[in-house]
Amino acid sequence: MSFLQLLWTASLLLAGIAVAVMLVLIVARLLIVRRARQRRAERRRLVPILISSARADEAALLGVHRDVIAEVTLELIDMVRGEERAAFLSKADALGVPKQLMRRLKWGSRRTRVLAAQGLSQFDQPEARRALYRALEDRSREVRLAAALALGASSQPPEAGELIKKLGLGTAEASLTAVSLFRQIAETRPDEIRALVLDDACSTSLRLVALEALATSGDFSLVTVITELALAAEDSSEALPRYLHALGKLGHPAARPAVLRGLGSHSMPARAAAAGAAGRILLKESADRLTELLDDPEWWVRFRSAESLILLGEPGIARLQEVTRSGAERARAAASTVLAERGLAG
Amino acid sequence: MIDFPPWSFAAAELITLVIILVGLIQVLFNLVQLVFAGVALHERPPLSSTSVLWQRYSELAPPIALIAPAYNEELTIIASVDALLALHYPDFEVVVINDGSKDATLQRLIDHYRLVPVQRYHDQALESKPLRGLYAADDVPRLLVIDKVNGGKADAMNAGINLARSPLVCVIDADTLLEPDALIRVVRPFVDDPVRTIAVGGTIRIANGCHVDGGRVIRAGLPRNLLALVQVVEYLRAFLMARLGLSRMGTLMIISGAFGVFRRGAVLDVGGFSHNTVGEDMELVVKLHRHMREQKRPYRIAYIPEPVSWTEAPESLKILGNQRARWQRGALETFRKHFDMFLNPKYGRIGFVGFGQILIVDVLGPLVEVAGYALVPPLWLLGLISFDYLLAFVALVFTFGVFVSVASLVLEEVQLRRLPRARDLALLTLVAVFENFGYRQLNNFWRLRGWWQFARKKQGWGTMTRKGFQRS
Repeated sequence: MSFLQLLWTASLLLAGIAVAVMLVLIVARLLIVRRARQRRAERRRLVPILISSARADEAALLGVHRDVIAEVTLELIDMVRGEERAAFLSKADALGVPKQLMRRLKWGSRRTRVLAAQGLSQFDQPEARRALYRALEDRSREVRLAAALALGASSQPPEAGELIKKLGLGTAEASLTAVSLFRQIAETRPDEIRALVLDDACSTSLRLVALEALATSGDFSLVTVITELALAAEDSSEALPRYLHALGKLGHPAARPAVLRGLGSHSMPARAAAAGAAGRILLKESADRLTELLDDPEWWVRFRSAESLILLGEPGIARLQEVTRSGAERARAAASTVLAERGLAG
Repeated sequence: MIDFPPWSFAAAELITLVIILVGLIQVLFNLVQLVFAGVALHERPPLSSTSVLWQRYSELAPPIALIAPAYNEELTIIASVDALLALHYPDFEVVVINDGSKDATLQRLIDHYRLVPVQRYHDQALESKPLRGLYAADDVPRLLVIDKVNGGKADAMNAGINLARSPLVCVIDADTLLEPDALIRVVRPFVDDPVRTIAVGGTIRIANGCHVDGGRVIRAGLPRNLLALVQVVEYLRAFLMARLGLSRMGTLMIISGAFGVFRRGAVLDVGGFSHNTVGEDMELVVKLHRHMREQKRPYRIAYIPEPVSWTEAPESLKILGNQRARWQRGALETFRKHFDMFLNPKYGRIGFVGFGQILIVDVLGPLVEVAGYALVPPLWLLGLISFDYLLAFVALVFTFGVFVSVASLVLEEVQLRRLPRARDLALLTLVAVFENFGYRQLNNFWRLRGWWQFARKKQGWGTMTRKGFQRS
């Protein structure tokens, strides 16, 4: 074949492939549209039956596709609470929805498996849980994560250690979703997550995730531990600001030594986090240092310091007002603008 | 018959070879992008419903500040801001920047939302023109309006980023129509890979021909205007093939200023949007690559197709031509400004693949194609090159163009399926064929104009007249 023939053959081939592919796509789309129309009709027949007090298995008699039954029941379950939800769950059970989801979790495409895991989270049954546990071994990260979240939402969340191992939390898996998972576990077994924070063998990132999950729990027994961790952390470490954030969220005065240390840190994130925490734990003895920090070179530190001085109440506000009169230019701007922003300008 | 000296045959051969070579490299690069785009679409996380995303991410999603610069938008500003305020996201703020509009944009905002002057302590890390005032209302706590001296889009976005206090900023055009779940979808990489992700771009689609109500696309459709229709195919190619492929390769060089989310700290680290270019969105992404590579920090700049925003495409040749010339100029300015990164091992794949792509597609692409149109016919007429080869090569270039467009349509249909009807697919296939005859040449002419403006150091955006969305 000459070069010229090669060029023409390549052109014809490309054109032919393009036309053939588009024809296939268009035909496929027509079939999809037809199927979608059928499914919509099935939904219209199904919904009144599920909402009414009719026997659930009547739906099966209507010849409604099992996927449609699963889809519609899950939507309804998701929309309501209390007795109505229980009624829908029972109907879904009678229609074999959990079994259908389990089949899809085992055999479906990646997308189907993820959706099946999400759907199974509604059915707090031993069989569903077993299927979800099996899905923690799935080859797809997304499916494993969906299964873990579904299990976390059940009455018997999996052990944190098991999740760390199977999902690679703190190593291969850096998603913030881990925080959600740990929060779910902490609702019933806070000691397990607390143990992770205390475990020196755990990676710093995993301990920080556990810490974040517990920070909103109001578990003050953690304050001493986190304070010690913050005092032991290197000044420039990425962990120090996160410890200080967590202490701020917990809002307990026992965090005092760590916060005072943070206010003197050379690291900007640490100073800003400490400045924020000082206000939240109402650390009145930090007022002088916060006033100094109004002239910090970093904007976030100045802003957090001004905010915290306001949280300290009258003494803090008085200091801010004093700075507006006699402070350095940078500090004066911070104090006066934040006071004005909060409607406290004198 | 004229007797040409032997060197003229050699020169004609050389010119033809250069044109063919650059064309072949472009073809090869497109094929590679296509493969990577296919892999990326296949590997991407399954599409979840908005409610599932909300359940999973609502507690974890970081706060976002939407930065919406507005210049002379009095006709559409209220509908646009209403739509932004109605987005579904747990914690966000809408920062509208009135960039010295000459019309009543600011007054419309003040009157409609009953805004009053406020003060807000803010960072002045990024360069911007002086602020004239800040406005907010107790009834609309998510809204902050900045009034400032006109300084252009980059300047306005910098002012908005200065005022923002959220860890993430989402830059959009004031008339961009974001889908209600666009934010919860676009934030996904920031949740899934929080340490490395510094910027994420979403998809921009053409709103012409769609039914728009209350700042939202209610029913998608194709435009009736031929120019806008061609742009639908172009956008699909640009996003579903080029950006997705480049993102998968880790060499995404642009996140559109019409819809992109950035980690605010990273934007501050590189000095925000540059003022001295019309390609400030591309330039910001290149600066981010440069900074992170120089700091030797692991990072990710990604494009994900699911979050969608809609924009109005120009329907007149004049406006479209200005836009394309401006884009061309922006790419050239970025290439020149960061030329030291090109083929520099210090910048890894960005220097080789990212800049290589800019060189082949943006820098040389229009020059070579127009040179081909201008030089090859005379060379043939003079008997210096073979007509048979010329025809065969042109046919190959055009059929490959159609093939690439069709491949983008396949990606769209198999993975996203946003085109409402089967006949839309057929129509876009026809458009993909016919754009090669006339539009493609016109586009290259506009890009050449961009080259000329770049060479003459022309500054500024020119005017972009908007027709306004068809609203019910």
